[in-house]
Formats: sequence, C-alpha cells, structure tokens
Amino acid sequence: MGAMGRRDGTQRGLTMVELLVTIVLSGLFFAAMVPVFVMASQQGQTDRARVLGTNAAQSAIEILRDLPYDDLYDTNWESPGAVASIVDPQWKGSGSDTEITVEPYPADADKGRERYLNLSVTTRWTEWKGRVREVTLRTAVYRQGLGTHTLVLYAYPLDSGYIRQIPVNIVARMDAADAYATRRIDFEVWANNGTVVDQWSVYTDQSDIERDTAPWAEQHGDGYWYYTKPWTAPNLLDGTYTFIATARPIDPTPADPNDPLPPSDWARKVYILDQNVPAKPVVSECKPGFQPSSSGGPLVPQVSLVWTDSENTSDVGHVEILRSGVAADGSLLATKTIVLPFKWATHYVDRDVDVGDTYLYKLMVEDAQGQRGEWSDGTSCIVPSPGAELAVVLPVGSLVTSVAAPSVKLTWTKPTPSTGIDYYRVYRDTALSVPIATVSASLPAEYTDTFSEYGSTYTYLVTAVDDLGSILVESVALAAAPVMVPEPPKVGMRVTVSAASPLPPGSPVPAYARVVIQSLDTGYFYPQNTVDYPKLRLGKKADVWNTGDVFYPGRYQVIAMFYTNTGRCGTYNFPLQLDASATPVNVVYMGPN
Amino acid sequence: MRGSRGAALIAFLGIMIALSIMSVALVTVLANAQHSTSREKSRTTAFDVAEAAIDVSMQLLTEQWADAEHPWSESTLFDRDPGFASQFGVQPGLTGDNSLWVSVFDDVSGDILAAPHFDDNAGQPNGYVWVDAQARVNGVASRIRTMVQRETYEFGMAKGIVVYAGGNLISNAVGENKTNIGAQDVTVGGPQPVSIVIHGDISSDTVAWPYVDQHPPEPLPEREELISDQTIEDITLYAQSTGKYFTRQPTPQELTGLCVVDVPSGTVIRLDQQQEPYNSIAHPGVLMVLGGGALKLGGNVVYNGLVYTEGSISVSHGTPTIYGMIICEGDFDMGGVAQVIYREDCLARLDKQFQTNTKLVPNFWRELTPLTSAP
Repeated sequence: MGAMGRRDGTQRGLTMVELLVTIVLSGLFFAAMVPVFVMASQQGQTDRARVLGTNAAQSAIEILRDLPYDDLYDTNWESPGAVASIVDPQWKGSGSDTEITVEPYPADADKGRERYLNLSVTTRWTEWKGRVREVTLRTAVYRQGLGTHTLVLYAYPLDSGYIRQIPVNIVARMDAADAYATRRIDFEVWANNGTVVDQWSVYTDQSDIERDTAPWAEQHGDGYWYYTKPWTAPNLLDGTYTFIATARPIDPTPADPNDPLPPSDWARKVYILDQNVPAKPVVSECKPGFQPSSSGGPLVPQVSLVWTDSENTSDVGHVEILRSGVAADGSLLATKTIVLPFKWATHYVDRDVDVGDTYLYKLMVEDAQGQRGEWSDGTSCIVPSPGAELAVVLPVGSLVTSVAAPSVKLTWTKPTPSTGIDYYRVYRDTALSVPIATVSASLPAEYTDTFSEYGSTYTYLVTAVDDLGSILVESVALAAAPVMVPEPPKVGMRVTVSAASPLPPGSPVPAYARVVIQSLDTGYFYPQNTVDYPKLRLGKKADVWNTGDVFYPGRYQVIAMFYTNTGRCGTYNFPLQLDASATPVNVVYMGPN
Repeated sequence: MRGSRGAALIAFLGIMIALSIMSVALVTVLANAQHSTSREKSRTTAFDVAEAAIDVSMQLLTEQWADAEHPWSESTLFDRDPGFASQFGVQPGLTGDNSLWVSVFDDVSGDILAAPHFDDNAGQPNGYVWVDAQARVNGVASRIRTMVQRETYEFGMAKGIVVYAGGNLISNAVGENKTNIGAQDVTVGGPQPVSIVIHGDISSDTVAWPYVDQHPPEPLPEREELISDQTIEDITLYAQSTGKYFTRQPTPQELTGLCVVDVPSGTVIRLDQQQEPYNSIAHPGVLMVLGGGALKLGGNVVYNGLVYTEGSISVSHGTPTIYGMIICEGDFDMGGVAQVIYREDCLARLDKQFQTNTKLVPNFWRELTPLTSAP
C-alpha cells in the first residue's frame, strides 16, 4: 500500500508536468511551423504572380502575333505607350513591368528582307521584400507574303482583251485563306469618261454564300474561291471599260454591313466591250453620173453610193462593198468585192462602170476586231448614156492646204460662175474613189480633215458636183500638193495627288483616287493611262505619277476623282496645254465638290 | 482521476500527429503548386517555341517548298537554320527534356502522321501540307499542328503575244536561214495563231512567221498591258529575297530560274554560255534585265520562259532559241538565225513557278496531345 501510496504520491502533479511538456513541445512545434506557413504564403503569392506574369506575357505575344508584320517591326517598343497598348490592363505589374523586344533574325544580312522576327516579351514584378522577379517568353514571327495581291480579276470567254460574247463571266478569284478573312467583294465597271456604269457586290462569308450568292461562289479545290457573275453589259455601248474588284475585310466589323470598310485588296482589268456587230448599212443614194476626163477624153461614167454611218462607229474596221450586175448585153457581170481604204467612209464613187450596165450593190461594215455586220439590202442603178443635156461643171479655182497638226485644213475657191453646183467633194486618194467629205455649196469653201495622222502624207483633191436629180455631173478634180503631217516629239506629264490636311469640317475622307487623262483635241480618253491610288496617304507626301512621254502636244484635261469606300466624293478637272515645258499638275483634294 | 492520467500526452501526441499530417500536406500542396506553376511556365514557353518553329518552318518552306525532290525530314529545320535550336535552348528531338521536333506531312485524309513528308497528294501536288511542331521545355511538352498553303506569284501575262518590242524588229538573216518567230503548241489541234507587237519598224523581210499575226488590232498594246510595273517591282523584290538579283553579269547557273539583272545603260549582259537549256518547259524561268542594259543572245542557247529587258536585245552569233515570250522595250535585233517560239504551256506554268509565301490556312490550327515517341 505504501509503495502504492508513494506511487500515487509521486504521480501527483504528473498531469501538470505532462501538460507543461505538451505545451512546451507544442510551442516548439508551432514555432517551427510558423516559417513553413509564412513560406507557404510567400510561395503562394510568388506562384500566383508568376502565373499572372506568364499569362500577361503570353497574352502580349498573342496580340503581337496578330499585328501586321510591318507594324510589328516598325513600332518603337521602347515606348511605354506602345507597350501599354499591348499589355493586358489587368496585369498588375508596376514600374517598368513589361519589356518587348522585336528584332530581325540575325542571319539575314545578305537578303533583301529579314526572314522572320525574333519576338521576346518579359514581364517583371517586385515581391514584398523588394525582390524582382520576371518571366521571359520568346517566339518567332514569319512575314506572310510579299504584299502582293491575291485577288485576281478576269473575264471569260475573252478574245485577246475583247468581250464579245454576252453574257461574259466576270470572275474574282481569291486565295481561300484570304477569302475566309474577307467579308465581301465589291465590283465596279467604269466607262472611259470616269462614270461607274455598273456595280455589284458578293458576300464571301459562308452563311451569305449559302443564303444569297451560292451560284456565284465556288471552290474548285485548287486553293481558290471563285466569285463569278454572268455579266450582261446592261445597256452599254461598245467601248473600253475598266473592271475593278475590291475586297473588304471581315475586321473591323461595323454593325451595319453597308458601312464603309477599308479595302484589303483590289484588282483591275481593262477590257474592250465589243458585243455589237456593226449595224446593217442603209444605202440612201445610188446614182449614176459623169465626170470629164482630165486628159480631155470622153466623159467617164460613175456610180455614186451614199449610206448612213454605222451605229457602232467606235470600232469600225472597214466598209466592204459587194458589186454584181447585168451587162448591157444581158450577160452577168463578175462579182467584185471592194474594200474601202478609209474606214469612216460613207461615200463611194465607183468609176469602174460601163454605160448601159446595171449594177447591184450591197454594203457591209466590219469592225476593228473582225466582226462582220449584216449586208445591206441590195441597191441597183443603170448607167445611162450621157445625154447632150449634161452641162459642164467648172472645177474649183484653187486649193490650198495648211497643216495644224494633227489636222489638215483645206481651202478652195469656188468656180466662177458656180451656178448649179450643189456640193463639193473632198478626196484624199488620187483614185477618187472615196470622198472623205462633201461640203454644201452654201457653206464656206473649206474643210478640216481631222482624220489625218502624224507622219502620213496625203494628197487632197476637190471636185464640184451638180446634182441633176437622176444623174450627177462632177467637175474635173483639182489636186493640191502632197502634204505631210509631221510627227512632233511626244511629251509626258507629271501628276501629283494628295489631300489637304486638315480637311474642311464635315468633309468625307477619300480612301483612294483615280486619275484619267483626256485629250481635249480629240476627246479621246487614255484608258491605259488611268492610274489608281488605292492607298492615298492623306495629308502626307503626295503620290506622284510620271506618265512618260506618251502624249502628243496638245490640249488635255487631267480628271482626278476621289472616292470613299462607298462612292465618289469629289472630282477635279485640270485642263492644260501640254508641251515639253508644261508644268506638273498638282491635284489636292479639298473636300467634296 | 486515475483514468485520466496520460490523457494530455495522448492528446498531445494526437495533436502532433494531426499537425504533422497537416504540415506534410501543406508542404506537399506547396510543392505541387510550385511544380504546377513551373510546369505552366514551361508549357507556355514550350508553346511559344513550337509556334516559333511553325513560323520558321513556313519561312523555310517559302525558300524551298517540300516537294518530292525536297522532302522534309526531322532535321530539316536544324540543318537549314542551325542557330534556331540554340536560340531557344532546345535540342533536336522528340523526347529530350529540352527538345524540339518539327515535321511536315502531306494533307491526305486518314492518318496524317503516316503521310509523306512532302506535298504529294497522290502525285498531284496541291500546295498544301501539315506542319507539326512539338517543343519540350523542362520536360513539359506543347504540340501544335497547322495546315499551310504554298502561294506563288501570279504573273497575269497577256496571252498570245510572242514578241513585244517598243523599238524596231530587225533581222539580217539571209537565204534559207531566216530568223524564225512563231508558235508551237503542244495541245491537240495544232498551233494557235499568235501576235507580235512592234511599236517601231519591222525592218526586214528575212523573218519567217509561222502562225504569227503581224498586225494585231490597233491600238497596239503597250508594255504595261503585257507586264505591269507592279509585276516588275514584285519580281525584283522576289529576286532580292532569293539571292537572284544581280548588278553584274550573272553566271550561267545564276541566269536560271527567276533572275533579275539591274545594270546601267550601256552594259551588255550575255546569254550565250551554256549548252544545256536554261530552265525547261515544265519549269520555265524569268530573265529581266533592268536599268537599260542590253541583252545579247548567242551560241546555241535554249531559254525556256519569259525574257524582259528595259533596253535592247540583240543576237551576236549562233542559233539561240527562246521558248516562251520576249518583251523588249528597245530594239530587238535578231541577227543570225535566232528563234523565238511561243509556248503557251511554258508561260502558263510561270504562275505556279515562283513561291512567294507560305500562309496559314485558317481554321486548321490545332493544339494537340504531345507525342511520346516518334510517329
């Protein structure tokens, strides 16, 4: 019991000791654990900051990758503003927390352009103890493309630049990769005078293709999308037309699909519309006549033909005459084909005829591209024997030519007396087959030949004609000395195009400009000398166009047209006398007019 | 009271054990979190390296497309751009802790990884391949695959014109050895008529003209309509980027393919020194002499493709033959028995001949499960 009692006595207070030991050990243990928890807390913050820093850097890299290559290369990334525009605003780094370096791949010194860019983004942050930590991510970015157009415009079937078959397929072809980034392609057809004569659009995103324009869009499996429209040249005359296709990108995406979009690519082709064959000529006169022989022999019989000009006069190649007939003895005359040397001819004098024969004429106009029109209805006449009633028509008194290049002016004196003379015929060929003009006797005795060409030599002749109703009497021809139209040295012009900066308030801002040159002497537009400025640099250095020496001296007009992405916003005309000392034409867009 | 003796110790031990477990768990969680952060950073880094590899591969594919003659191998990128791997701190390979693997596959359906390493398409190359890149940084891998498209320069040449001269066309051939300008067409139906466009004079009748229309409709096309200033500028840029732009007489080898020579007016560039044909009908070339330099043809040279000069072209000796088209802004003096034969099939192939770019095909970019062994 005593032992028990001692044990009991010694065990008293043990709980207190155990408790104290426990408290001490616990204190030591907890004391040891405190740094662990502190470290855990710090590590947690560091990890979180590192994740945020890594994400911020990766986000910046993704944004940088989406920038146009040149913008990526040209931007000064040491600028805090440039960096701030890239970095996620949620990124909580402080001070110089982000660093972006963009440098070309170093091994490209021997190439005309860098192969790709090395891109590095460093995000940096400061921990609570002042320790600076950072994350650096590196990648490379490749320049995709030389900046060449991938939008190609063409027409088919096409015959050496001529659209002859209507409808013609107007096709815009685009790389599939670009087509996916394109919202729509706008087509325009321009006449030579600068007016838009037709336009249409095709939407390129898949839903629109399926909904609206499926017949127009197709992918042939060759990496391209083809946007084809059978074009019918609605109400258009033959002539030269410019076709323009402009691609509009998906981004930026305005709320209204009709809002302006900057062009991402464009293509242009010039075609000659030649859908109409020359019209069927209508012969208005088929009349026999006579002319004294210049050698004093018997009267020379003739048949004069007059017909109306072809409606399709823009591209006449030549007029063809098919002659057949019956001789005075009843035998058939051999068929004869006559191709007139003057393509604008509306008169012909057939001097290869005999008295008593009956002649049947048919005319046909062939255009410059070889399209033959319909033959006219046949017109016939009999060459009678010259009667004694035929009065002698006196020839003109004198004939003088003067060259006002490229035209030649003729002046003659009327015969005295000139009674009975109805008109004068002007010939340019000594065969006296094609009068290039007839001048009424009531008008001044002069004519200006505007069909003459530089470098050519012409012999002009003039006759007087007395129209007796059923028969003509023509005088002996008076010829002028051969005259040459000298070719002057060609000259060029320099056109600069820019836009004022700032523009007047409220002025639409042009996206591009077009310059067309027109001869005020001939009215001819020069389609091959049309220049587009698709990326007009507003308020900056002007775009300069040197035409090269392609124009003859004369009066010209520079027509500059400015466009927004939805239409024309200004047209400026600059007439000038073009010669070797002509001053440049400076076109400055000052707002709509 | 006796029953509660030692309870404090037991409680202490229990608390100690619980706290120990919690501590171990905390440390483990911390370690895992740190490991995860580290892995995430490594994965992001690997992702960027893989993207860089894709971009650099596209550049290399632009310089040399992966075709049957130039298949892509796993060492192609590192062979052709030796500095790339060290730049990103990786070694070639698929499984190393810091490694990079890049491969190219034909765009066939089915098992892409079993496809040929070049643009094959069952023998009909279509300009599309897959590029597959896997980067591993600190043992963490990221893999990207995308389809890329070959983009070639479109010349948009006018068809049907065999010779354009801004100046005169001259020939002094004699007898039966007439200079020959004509057309040769390999299609069914025989040669189609072609045109010559001579803005100056055709000063000799010693030229034979098989299938040639000497008088196309007026007005005669200008050079700009045949080959535009933009095209010339683009071709020059392309030549500069491929090392084919010269300001001197190129060697015969350098004159093949797309070659631009830019020399001052008065300089003569000779094309007369090679027995083998320059280029081929299947792979035509382009020779442009800019700056007003004169091109002199000679020998028995055969050139397949387009020849353009801002100056004149003359023939010094021999029987040089051009299959394709000549555009000459000055005089074209065809002395001797030179031949220019229009080959539309040759010119048509120009449009697919010179690669200018390799583009990503939208919607084909994928991040994939990394490979653990070579496919």
